[in-house]
Amino acid sequence: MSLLNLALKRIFSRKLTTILLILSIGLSTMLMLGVQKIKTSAKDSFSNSISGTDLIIGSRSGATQLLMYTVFRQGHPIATMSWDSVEQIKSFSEVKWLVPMSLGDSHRGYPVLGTSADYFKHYRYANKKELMFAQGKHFHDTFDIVLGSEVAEKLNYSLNDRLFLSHGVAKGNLRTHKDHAFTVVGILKPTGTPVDKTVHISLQGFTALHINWGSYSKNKQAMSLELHPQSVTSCLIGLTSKLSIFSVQSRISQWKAEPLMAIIPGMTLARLWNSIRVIDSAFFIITFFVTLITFIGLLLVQLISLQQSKRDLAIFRSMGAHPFQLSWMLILESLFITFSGVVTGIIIMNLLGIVLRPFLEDSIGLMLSFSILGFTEFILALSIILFGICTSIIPAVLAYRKSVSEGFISL
Amino acid sequence: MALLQINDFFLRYSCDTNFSLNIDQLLIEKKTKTFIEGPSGCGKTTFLNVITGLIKPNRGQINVLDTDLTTLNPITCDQFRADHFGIIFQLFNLLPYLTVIENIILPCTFSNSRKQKALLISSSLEDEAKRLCRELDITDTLLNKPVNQLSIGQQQRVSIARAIIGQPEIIIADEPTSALDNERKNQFMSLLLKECETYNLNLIFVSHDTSLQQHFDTSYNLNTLNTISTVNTHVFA
Repeated sequence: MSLLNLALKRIFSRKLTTILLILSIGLSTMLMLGVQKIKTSAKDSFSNSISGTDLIIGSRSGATQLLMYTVFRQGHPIATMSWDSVEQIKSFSEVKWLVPMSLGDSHRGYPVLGTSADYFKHYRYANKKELMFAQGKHFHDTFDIVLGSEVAEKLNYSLNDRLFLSHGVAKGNLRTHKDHAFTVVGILKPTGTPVDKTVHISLQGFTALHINWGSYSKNKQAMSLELHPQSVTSCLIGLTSKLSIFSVQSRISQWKAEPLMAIIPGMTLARLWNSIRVIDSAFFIITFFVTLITFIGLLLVQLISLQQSKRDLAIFRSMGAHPFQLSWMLILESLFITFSGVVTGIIIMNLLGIVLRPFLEDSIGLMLSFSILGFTEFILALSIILFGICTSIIPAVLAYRKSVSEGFISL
Repeated sequence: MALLQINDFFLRYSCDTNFSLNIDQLLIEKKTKTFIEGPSGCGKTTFLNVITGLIKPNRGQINVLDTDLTTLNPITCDQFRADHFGIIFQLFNLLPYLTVIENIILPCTFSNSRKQKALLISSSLEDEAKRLCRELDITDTLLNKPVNQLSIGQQQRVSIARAIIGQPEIIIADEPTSALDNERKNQFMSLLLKECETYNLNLIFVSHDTSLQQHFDTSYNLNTLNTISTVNTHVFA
C-alpha cells in the first residue's frame, strides 16, 4: 500500500468533512475563475466589437455614451447630428470613408440600424475582420433588410421574409411601422459582436419610416418622396492617414454649426475598461478573501484531524514511518482535497456558464467565451492548488515536530 | 549473539525531571522470549521507545542486532525499526478505515525488507496476508471487512498477523493482554508464542501482569534494572 493510497483511505474515512471541504473550495474556485472569465469575456467582447475605424462622430455628450450606443447599441443619444454636417465632414480631404448610422427603432427587441451600403464594406471587427454574408447580399432597395446572425436564428427568419419594424427601442408595447414592410435580402455570418443582434436597413428606409410619422404612407408613396435623411445618430470614419486623427478630431470638436465630438474608439474602449477595472479589482479582492477563508477552514479541519489522528500517526511512526513520510501524507491529503475542489469549481463554473450564457447575452450583451479554462484561469486554478499545498505545510510541520519530539508508542 | 545489549544507559525527559531511567547493563540473547515487567509508571513504554530507537537516551549505548541505535541518524533509525521490529499494541490499534488485509500489510508500506521477505513466501502481499489469516484462523469472510466489525478475539489475531508479516527479527508486545479476560489472555498468549516459534522470532513482551512470566525464557523487572528509579514500586523477585 503506497502513502498516496493510505492518504486516500484516511480522506475517505472522513467523508462528510471531505465533501464539504471539496464543495467549499469548489465554490471559491468557481467564484474566482468566474469573475476572471466574465472579465476576459467582457474585455474580448469589448475590444473585438470594432476595429479599423479611426473616429466615431456624434453630437456632443460623453465619449463613453457615444461609444456605447454607436457600437454596443446600449443607451440613447441625447441629440442627433445634421445631415449637412455629415456631408461636410465626408468632404474633408483626410476622410477616406464615412458610414452614417441612425438608431432608435427596433424589431422584436433587436435594435434597427439605418446605414449606407458602405457599412458592409468598411465595418471591421476583432482583428480587422470584414462582415460576411451567410445568405443573400446587402440592401439595394429602400425596404431591403439585412439581419445579424442571431436575429435571423432566434426569430427564425430566412431570405425574402417580410417584417415590420417598431418605433423606439424600449421594451413593451411599441408602435409598429405597419405601413412599411421590409424584405430580408441578406443574413450576416456570426461575428460574436453586437452586429449579430442588429437589424440593418438603408438610411433611406430609416428615413421613409419617419416621414409623416403618425400619418399613413405606404411603401410606394414613401418611395416617391425625397428620402434624404435630415439627421443621423453618429458616423464611423476611416482616414487616409492615421497621422491626421488628432487634427480631424480637433476640427470636429470646434464644429461651429452644431456641438459635435469625435472619439477614437480604441482609446475610449481602454478608458472605459480602466474605469471598469476598479470594480473588477474589487471583485477579485472579495473572491481572494473568500478563498482565503476557505483555506483557513481547510487548515482548521486539518489541525483538528491532526489531533484526532494522533493515534494513526503514532501507529505509522512505530511501524517505522519517518516524520517526513507522515508530513508528506498530510500534504497529499490536502493536495487531493484542493485538486478535487478546483476541478469541482471548474465544472460548476462551466455548467453555470452554459445556463447563464443566454441570460447574460440578452440582458447585458456579454458573450461568454467558450473555452473551458483560459490561460489566466489555468494559472489561477494552479495558484489555488499551490495555496492549498502551502496551507497543508503548517499541519505537516506540526506533525513532523510532534512525531520527532514524542515517542508516539504510548498508545 | 546478542539481540539487545544496553550499556551505561541514562534517560531523563526534559519535561519531567522527576522520572529517569538508568540501566547499567542489560543483555538479551537471540532466540529468546523475554518478559519485562513492572507496575504502571515505572517506564515500560519509555523502555520500548528506547529499544526501538524512537527516543534517544541522554547517555549510553543501545545495541540491537549488533547495531548501535544511538549512532544512527533519524532516517536510518526509522528504517531499522521498520525492518526489524513487529509491534503489538496494548489495544491492538488496528486502523478502522482499513480492511483486515490492508491492516496486515501496512508494515510493508514502510519496510522494503519485510515486503521482500513476505514476497519470498507468497506471490503478493495480499496472498501473504491471506496465508497468515488462514494460519491464525481468521476466516475468509472477514478479510475485506473494516476491522471495527471484528470481535476482540479476531482483532487479537489480526494484530499478531500485522506484527509477524515479513518476519521481523523482534516482536515487541506492549501490554497486549491488559484489557483481556483470562480466557482471551490465554488464547492470545498461546497464539503469539506459537507464531514466534514457527517463524523463529524473538519476543520482548512488556506487562505488569506477573502471571504471564511462566511463558517466557527470561524475565526482568524494570524497577530492578532501573538503578536510580524514583518511583516506589513492587520489585519482582
